[in-house]
Amino acid sequence: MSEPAERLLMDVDYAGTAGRLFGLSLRTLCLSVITLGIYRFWMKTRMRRFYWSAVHPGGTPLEYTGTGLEKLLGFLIAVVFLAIYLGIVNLALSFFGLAFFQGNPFALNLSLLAAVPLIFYARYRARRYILSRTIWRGLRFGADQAAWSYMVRALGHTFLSVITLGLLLPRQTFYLEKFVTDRTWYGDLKFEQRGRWTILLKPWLVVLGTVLVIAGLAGVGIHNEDPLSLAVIPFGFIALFVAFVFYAVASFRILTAHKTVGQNIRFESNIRTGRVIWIYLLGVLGITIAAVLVLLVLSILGVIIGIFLLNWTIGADGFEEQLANAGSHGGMVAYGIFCYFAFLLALGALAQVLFAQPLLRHYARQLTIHNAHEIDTASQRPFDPNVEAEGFADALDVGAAI
Amino acid sequence: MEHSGVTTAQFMDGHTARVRPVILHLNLAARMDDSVLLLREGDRVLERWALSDVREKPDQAKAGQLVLSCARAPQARVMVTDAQTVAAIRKAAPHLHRRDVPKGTFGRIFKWAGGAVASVLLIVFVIVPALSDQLAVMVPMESERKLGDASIGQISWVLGKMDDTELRFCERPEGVAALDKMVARLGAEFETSYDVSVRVLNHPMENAFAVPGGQVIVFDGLLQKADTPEEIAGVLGHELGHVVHRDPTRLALRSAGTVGILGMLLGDFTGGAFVLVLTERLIAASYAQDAETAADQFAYRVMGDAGLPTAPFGDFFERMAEVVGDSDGVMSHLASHPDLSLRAENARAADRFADGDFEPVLSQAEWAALRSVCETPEAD
Repeated sequence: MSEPAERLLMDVDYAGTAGRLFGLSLRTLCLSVITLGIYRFWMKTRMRRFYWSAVHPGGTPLEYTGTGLEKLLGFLIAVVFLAIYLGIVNLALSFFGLAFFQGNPFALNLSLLAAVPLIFYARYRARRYILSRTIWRGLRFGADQAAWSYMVRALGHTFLSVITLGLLLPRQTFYLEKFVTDRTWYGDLKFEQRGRWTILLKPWLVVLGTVLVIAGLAGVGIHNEDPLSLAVIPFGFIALFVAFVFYAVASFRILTAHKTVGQNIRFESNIRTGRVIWIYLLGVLGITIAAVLVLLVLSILGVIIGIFLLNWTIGADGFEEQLANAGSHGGMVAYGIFCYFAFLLALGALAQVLFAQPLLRHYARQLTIHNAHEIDTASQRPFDPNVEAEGFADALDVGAAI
Repeated sequence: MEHSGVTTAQFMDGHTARVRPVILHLNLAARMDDSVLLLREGDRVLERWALSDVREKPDQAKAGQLVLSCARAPQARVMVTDAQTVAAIRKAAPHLHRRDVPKGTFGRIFKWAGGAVASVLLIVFVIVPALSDQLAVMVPMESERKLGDASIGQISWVLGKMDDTELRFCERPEGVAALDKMVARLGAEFETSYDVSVRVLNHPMENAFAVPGGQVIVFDGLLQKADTPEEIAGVLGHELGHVVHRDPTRLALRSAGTVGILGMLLGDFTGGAFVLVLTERLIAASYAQDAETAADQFAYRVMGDAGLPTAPFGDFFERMAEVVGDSDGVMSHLASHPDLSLRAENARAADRFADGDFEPVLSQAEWAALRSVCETPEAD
């Protein structure tokens, strides 16, 4: 083999900018609110188009070809079945809760269980839909139809993880990832997840160790009512968050390194826990500052409107009374509602810029494709109509983060 | 007159994964139908796209990058980055932003939208009510009782918190005896498997309610508001109707059956919580409306059978209707239903003792005792 290095190694670039993303996100969020949520299918579609087109493996962008109409249709189909299913199952479960666990708060959560098997089913279907609507270099990705068997496996693995108190969670992570990866295609090239579940054991033991240490310290603190050890608890939450990010990052890296496509195409991910934590930290900081600024601007605007609409006099006695009476004025109430939405929408759009995009950028840029020349051998796969789209995931609110 | 622009672009044929550098010609003719986008690899013409068939892929992350497809060859893509060519294509292509919706899409959407609406209406207004009526009967008595105790505990805790007082049940013996007498007179006229208990809670709210398990709670405020014991008997008859019809349990089950569906329909869009609460209220109200009417009917029948007039109950509704305009303390439960004057009319129409004589449900002394049931007994 004497392929030149640039044909063997392929880098992934990310080309999205904050301004364009913020504008698109804010516009589509507004439309979703104005249409009482109906536009959300188009919002998701357009956001995906943006993100997909920003990821450039080897200089060629991905493309998302799904449409809002497809998603709406899928949602309607899901509602036809889910309304009946959820209605009857929720009713039956709350009957049992009422009859046998009366007043027990646990019984109230029973009805959540009705949705759990469906959530696994919906997740697989959503992933299949998204893949079938993703193209790169003119070829579609795709996934085999296996949502029911994924659901059964996911339930089994979850059960095992729960009864072993989380000890077997890496086993669940690995086998579910293997299940979906082994059914994933790029054109006519098949993905494969290699390795054994024990490759995830090491990062998971770090998480378990952290949990045990923190639980131990907190337990001692509570038992001795010692304020100093109790102070450990807030730090414990931060440490837990870091530990879980570490597991997510490490397991992604390891699983990616053990994936292949076709004969020899391999991947290498160099994402870093520190970087991901840093993104979250900056994001929280940015959101907080933005929230304060937005509130400030809205308040000042509110006072100005008050001066014109209600003849408020600043600094005069009874200004608090004026504020309290604002609730009885239609214009001020409308402004209050406007503020509520303006605040939520601005922060929602900002969250895309501060969290989703930097994370995606990091994941994309740290990915390298090995033996990339083999990609040229791929050819197109048949179109997967997938009429139900990801309706079940939309209805159950378990869609992908993006 | 012909006009043309030439540049390099990248072409993907939609059959293989190859990205090919191509020469792109934008040939503008006088007639739009003759204007074409021509893709050439060396001397070979790869594609000839009519300009009116050219579509732009929207929402691109990278400014200045144009991704094009052709309505007649939807899998192939051309990527153009040269700014002048991008501008020229944007200016010339007439249907760049058209969405080619597959035939029959809207038909399918209308069909399934109809199905979705039918399915939701069926479950909310037919299946869930029918099933919860069936299931309510099957809840063991003991469970209902415990649930009822829990609800009373919660309600008196919340009300106590709001007024910063400790709520207690009023137990002055003379008043309790008067209440028991009233309940016994009404109770003789109907059958129920519940062990009915009616108690008074020392709170100024003008309200009464039934909880699962056959318990009815009357607030002291209601006793103070009433002019005659027959008015109280009417309210009691109404609440006992709820007990006999198992309304608290039935309605609890109904709302459990519908709550998940609404969340599903609305999704997680901003402001969805607003609409969710609103629709839930509407459905709950429509469920409750039927139950309230049935409880009224029950009250009229039982009172008639017990030899009591229902007109005072009507007077009571009328007075409630007058105070509904005022804000606080009004029997929120009864007043929350719009047609108080209609209910007043119905109550008067149901009266079998128009101006005739009847044996009062309580004597003057007993009525006074009932109204002071919450006063603490004076120390002897």
